[in-house]
Amino acid sequence: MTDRKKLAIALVCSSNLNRSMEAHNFLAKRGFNVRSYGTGERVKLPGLTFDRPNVYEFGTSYEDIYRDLESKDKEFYTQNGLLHMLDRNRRIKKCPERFQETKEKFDIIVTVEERVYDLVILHMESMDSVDNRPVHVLNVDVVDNHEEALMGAFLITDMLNIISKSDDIDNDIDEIIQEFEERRNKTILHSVMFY
Amino acid sequence: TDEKTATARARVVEWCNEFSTASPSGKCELLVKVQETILGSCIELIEEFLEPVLSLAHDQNMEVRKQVVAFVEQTCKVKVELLPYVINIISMMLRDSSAQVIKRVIQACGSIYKNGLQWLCTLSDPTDSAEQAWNVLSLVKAQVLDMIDNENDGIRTNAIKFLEGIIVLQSYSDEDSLKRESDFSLADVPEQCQLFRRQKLQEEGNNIFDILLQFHGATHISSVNLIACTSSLCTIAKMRPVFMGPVVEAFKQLNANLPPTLTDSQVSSVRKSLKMQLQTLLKNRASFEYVSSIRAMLLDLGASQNEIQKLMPKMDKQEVARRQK
Repeated sequence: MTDRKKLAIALVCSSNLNRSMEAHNFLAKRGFNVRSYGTGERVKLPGLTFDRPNVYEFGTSYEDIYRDLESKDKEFYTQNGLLHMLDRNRRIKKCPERFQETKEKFDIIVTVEERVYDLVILHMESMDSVDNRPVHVLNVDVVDNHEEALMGAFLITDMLNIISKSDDIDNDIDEIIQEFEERRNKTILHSVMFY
Repeated sequence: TDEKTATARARVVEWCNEFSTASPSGKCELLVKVQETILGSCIELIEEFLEPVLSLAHDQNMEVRKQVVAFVEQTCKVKVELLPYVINIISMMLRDSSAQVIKRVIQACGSIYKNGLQWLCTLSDPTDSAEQAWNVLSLVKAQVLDMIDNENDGIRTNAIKFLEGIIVLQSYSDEDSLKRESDFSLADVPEQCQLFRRQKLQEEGNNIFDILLQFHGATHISSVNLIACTSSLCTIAKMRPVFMGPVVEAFKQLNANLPPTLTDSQVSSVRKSLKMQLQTLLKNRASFEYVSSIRAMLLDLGASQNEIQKLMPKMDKQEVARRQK
């Protein structure tokens, strides 16, 4: 078994608000060494109307975003669950972080949609590898709403639980993913990149 | 200053004394502290403490042995002149009983080989120990090359990445090469180098490239190995355009005949990876003469004409004419 505290895991979605944070919360509570990120240009949240989303720079604290939405329309953002989500997030870490800007190195990166997976791979590929240290990048599709984010967090936790039970992840990962896909009836994209 | 060195020495002596009684995780922490102190700020102490550190290469715990590898790797970055004193340990540890240790050693070998080669090039009158170090470095290279057939998938993945580095080091760049700050090519090896000849290194690099091509085309290659190998071949073609033709051909073969052992989702992952690699190849000017093949593959992999057109580098008529010759 691989020590789950030693396995450096990144969870990546678009804005580092919902899907990656739900899974971050789950995994951190289960003793995993986990960080979370977004790959978008900016942090985007639904606004009062469909065509006017709330947009923030990465690095704006969850606290500030919370206060901003609260001042704009507390009732609306309470009812649609955003304030609750931000309240959860600010208890986990300070602010949304952009994947492309991190210097951290991971053993496993889990993305939640194909577009995010592509951006992660593209970014990793553009970096000059120095340490030759491999990282497994896995994509599990999760729809971007509260309920699906919760289901996604269960699924990702289940997958990482199984992976962390292996003594030799690099050697076993193909088989683990195949079994997981069959059991859960899901398709997982998987690639290996290098730091 | 002398005082700073004396204080550091006293601390390192104390930590080394604790090696024998510490737990495995304690030993790792001590090793990190020794490494940070000596390699971070008191490099003059390194020779004095090399022996107690290297003796931990025989420790029963694999995390401790991996930490020793990290120490050696960093030593070769900070003071590569010590290569003759550490390279034997690396060769020995490539035969470790644990796959985890072997993988960590292969990763370290990438930078150790590069730093070692660069240093040995500068020696106008190499000593016996430098010559011996080169011999062991060559042995290390052969050991990792062998591991491309290892039964452990992860060891093979790491070996592929190491070989990519060797091929890049042992070949020439040209005007179309992707420029990287720390690039080192055969042109940087002096013609009069005492220990090795450019031509021999080049031949060896070419042979290793052929081995990598064969590996890439093997019917029963695993999905992870295939993705790693595709990415390595792409890096090689971008940095050393002399290999562009065979790499495009290898990708063509792969696209036409994916390994039958891949599952549906592995096929998706491999095709996605291939598409991205082809897109980055297309941006490189050296792919000019292979554009029609690359375009056909990209269309097959789901890219649009418009997307493809945008990726192609702009060239004036003069350059197009020159390249068409």
